[in-house]
Amino acid sequence: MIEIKNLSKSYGANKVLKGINITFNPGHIYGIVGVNGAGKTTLFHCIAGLEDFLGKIETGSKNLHQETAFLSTNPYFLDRLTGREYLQFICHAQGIESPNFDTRNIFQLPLDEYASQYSTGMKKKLALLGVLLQKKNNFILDEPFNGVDIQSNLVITEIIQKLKQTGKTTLISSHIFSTLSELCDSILLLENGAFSRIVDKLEFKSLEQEMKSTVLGNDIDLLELDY
Amino acid sequence: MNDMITFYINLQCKLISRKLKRLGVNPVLGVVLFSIAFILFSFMLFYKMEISAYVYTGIAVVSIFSINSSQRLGFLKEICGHTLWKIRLLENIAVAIPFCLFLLYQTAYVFSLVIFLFSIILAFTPIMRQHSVRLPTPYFHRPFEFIIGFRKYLLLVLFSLFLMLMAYKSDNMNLGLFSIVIHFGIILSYLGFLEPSNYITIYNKSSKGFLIEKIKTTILYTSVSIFPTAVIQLITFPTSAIPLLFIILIGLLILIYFLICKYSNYPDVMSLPHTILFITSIFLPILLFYTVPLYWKKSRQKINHLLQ
Repeated sequence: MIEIKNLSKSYGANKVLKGINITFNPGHIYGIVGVNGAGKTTLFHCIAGLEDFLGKIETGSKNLHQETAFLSTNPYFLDRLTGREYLQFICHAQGIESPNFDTRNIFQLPLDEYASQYSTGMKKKLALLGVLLQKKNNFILDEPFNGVDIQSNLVITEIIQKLKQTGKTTLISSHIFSTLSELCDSILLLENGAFSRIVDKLEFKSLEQEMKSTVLGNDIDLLELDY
Repeated sequence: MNDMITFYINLQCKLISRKLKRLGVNPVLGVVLFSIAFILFSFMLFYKMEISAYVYTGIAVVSIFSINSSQRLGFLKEICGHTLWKIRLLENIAVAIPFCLFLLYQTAYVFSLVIFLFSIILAFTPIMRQHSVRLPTPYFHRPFEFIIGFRKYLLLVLFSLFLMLMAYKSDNMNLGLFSIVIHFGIILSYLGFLEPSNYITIYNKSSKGFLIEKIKTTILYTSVSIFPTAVIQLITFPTSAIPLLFIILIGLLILIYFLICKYSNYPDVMSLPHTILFITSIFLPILLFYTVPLYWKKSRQKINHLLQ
């Protein structure tokens, strides 16, 4: 469970999160949507214990990082670090025994090649393998489908559903509405630093329609594509 | 957790070894050469300059900062969580110690202590996320190397200005000239950034046109960068006009030469043998008759491949 009370975060004068209050329950998948720059990643960083913040976040442990695994939007890897070494590093840092990475390598990644030279999708998949190694109760997946091929997309969807079945709390951000509506129990709309809408499965369709009409409008005409 | 630290140290040794191999140098030899170069540079600095302790401390601070980039620390924090401070402390002290030891040898105890304390304090400071500050630059939009470089190496730019100020205060003409040489060195590091290929393919030019465009913008923006310090130098030390012009001219020629060399190995960085040839040809200009046409041709081939 993740319980957030009065969460605020600013970068200088720019207030990104403004007093968020919400509880994320175990065995549920939450989709977080919002325009680019709405503060989704900042929210995730705060919950994962990667950023300082004002307010309180409770995850069942004194240390946020101990309970929460985080998949970054654009995973970064040290130069000249192989995929296998990255996974070994995670195991050492988390104090867990290294499993047989080859049998766990469900994405068939070239683990002995440099991770920094992987494609976008491969980096994402390696980072996801690293996240799943950590055996935590809360999972935050920032755009997990970004750049990933269609086969892996199906695998990741299955993994997320499995996390739900095993009682984990999962937060996902994605810009693909159909994926979110297929996976999530609730979708939360982050606007101006706070959740403006929290929508359950039955209302997903109407939320999508609403977002389309708000977002599209006549803006496409401004691009002057009819040259 | 000690297991993690041991693993991390071993991992870093492996990564350094791979980087050296990529540069075409045996790792053991590379470490030995680097250590010798560091000691020689330290002795030279203290032999040549009156305010060497300040300069040396500045270099140490910048070196410690360089391993504290937000991207790198963010990566480590995702993995290590609240124990990241142990790695930061270890790395910062490892970088600081050679500087501290040399300063102790030079009996500059206070400077040594300052560097040591700085390395410890920095290990406990929060990670500065890049998006928290948007730094304006004196450049416009075109030469991204300059914009990125200025933001990345701002500390070094300020350091070169500090040297100019010290030259003015201590009435030391050579120090003023040295600060301009340092500024050229900083610009060289701006140009060292290897852009992703899409930054080249966006040009609607031939390879020759691309290189000439790069050279033109480099000359223009280097002149803009150097102008304030050059004017201060000229006003403060009018007799330094001829050496100043000489430094500017040679500096610009080296930057142009570097630009031509840079793309000859694209998308890889210049290998160590190439770098040695580059440096040797600067000190033995006769070699330029061979290297300039060679690198120009190679660079055009590499860029042609992308622009076609």
